[in-house]
Amino acid sequence: MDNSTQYELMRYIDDEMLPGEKAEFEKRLAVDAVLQNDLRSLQLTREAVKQYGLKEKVGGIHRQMMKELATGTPVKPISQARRIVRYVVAIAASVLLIFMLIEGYKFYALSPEKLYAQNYTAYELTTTRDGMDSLTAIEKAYRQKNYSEVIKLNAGSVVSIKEIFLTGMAYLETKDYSRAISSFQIVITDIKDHKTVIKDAAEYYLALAYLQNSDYDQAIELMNAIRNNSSHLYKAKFNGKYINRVKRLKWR
Amino acid sequence: MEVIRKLSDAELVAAIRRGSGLDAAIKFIYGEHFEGLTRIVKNNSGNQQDAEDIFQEVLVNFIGLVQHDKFRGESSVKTFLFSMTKHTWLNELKKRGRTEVRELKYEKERDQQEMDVSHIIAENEAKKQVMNVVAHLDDTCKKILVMFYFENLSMKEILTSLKYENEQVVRNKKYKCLKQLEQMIASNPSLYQNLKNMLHG
Repeated sequence: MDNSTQYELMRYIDDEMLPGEKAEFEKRLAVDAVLQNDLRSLQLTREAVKQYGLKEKVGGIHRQMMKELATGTPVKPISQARRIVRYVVAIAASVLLIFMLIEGYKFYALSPEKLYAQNYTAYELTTTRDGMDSLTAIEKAYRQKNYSEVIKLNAGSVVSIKEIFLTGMAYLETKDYSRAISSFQIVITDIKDHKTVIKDAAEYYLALAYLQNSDYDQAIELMNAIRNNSSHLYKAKFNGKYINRVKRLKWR
Repeated sequence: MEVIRKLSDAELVAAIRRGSGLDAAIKFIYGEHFEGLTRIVKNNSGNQQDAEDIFQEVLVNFIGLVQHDKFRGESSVKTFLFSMTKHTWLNELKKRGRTEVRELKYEKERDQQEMDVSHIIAENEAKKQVMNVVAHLDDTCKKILVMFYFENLSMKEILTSLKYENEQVVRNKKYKCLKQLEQMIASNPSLYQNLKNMLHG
């Protein structure tokens, strides 16, 4: 086959012939077995080049991908759904982390002193019409906030339930919690089933004294009893949240 | 990190056939299947290099099949690649005369079924022979032919890339290179026949 025919064949497979020229060539091709054979040979050669090109392309991308894998930046296909899930998980994890940090701080900052100060209200004696004349010495000393005098007077004489309660309050004010506990227990035991203002007050301050004395189980039990007693004067002082915080103190 | 959009099987096949989406398709296959497919080889006596070689071979074969409309989509791309990897590695082990052939183990994935890809594997040798012959051309010839017939670049684009005097010089060079390659293939009758079978069989 001459060079000119071979050149024509190449222009034919490269689709470079003009329409008329192509039609004329195809007429020749239809009746020329040698030309058909040469065309097939050239087509196979072209396919070999395509195969080689593909192998080279895959090889090039392979090297790029392996480099990325080695440097820890692999190409991962990410679907839209997966991306949304990833964002949602990240946000949820952030919220959870913030929540845990807040709760952790609260737990760390929790102390019986803080809970005590949050709930404590000083007991005040009611004012009488005849002023200080009808008050006992202990009551007078308590009204004057002379707590050491209250304790001293209590030790030197027989006193009433109300005066024992005031002595318990004096111990509480002077941070002698174990003696405060004893005083309030005496008041509660003595009054027993009778409902009085003093008994309710004694129970309330006893619960706080337990808290300050780190007797958490007794404090929680008494606080729950006060909370569950609908007629208790100090019922509103101990809600569920407050009692739960006292419970957490046990884990510290 | 380069992020590649997730492709369905149909989108992947379309991208390969289109040609212009080939790079993205290849990268997608790497991201989606490289780890799983190379594990088959590594779990069956192959090392990292074996696994990478087999993966590339499978990828070239798969793309070739899609481009010649021989992938009919009767199974998922994942299943198809899995079967091809398994059989290609089995074939390689046989060539190496390894005893592990009989006990090739692999991880069966939920939706994977066995496929008969043996006829495709049989073409591998013919393809390797073709690659070797093309590789023997000089670098300029390889560049011109690949740019023209694989990359589908115009003579003008090739001229810019290779710094020839004019398009006619490139055209003449391309003609000579293709003839040279044709003669190299024709001088090996079995290779010629294998190539013929591979493309028209």
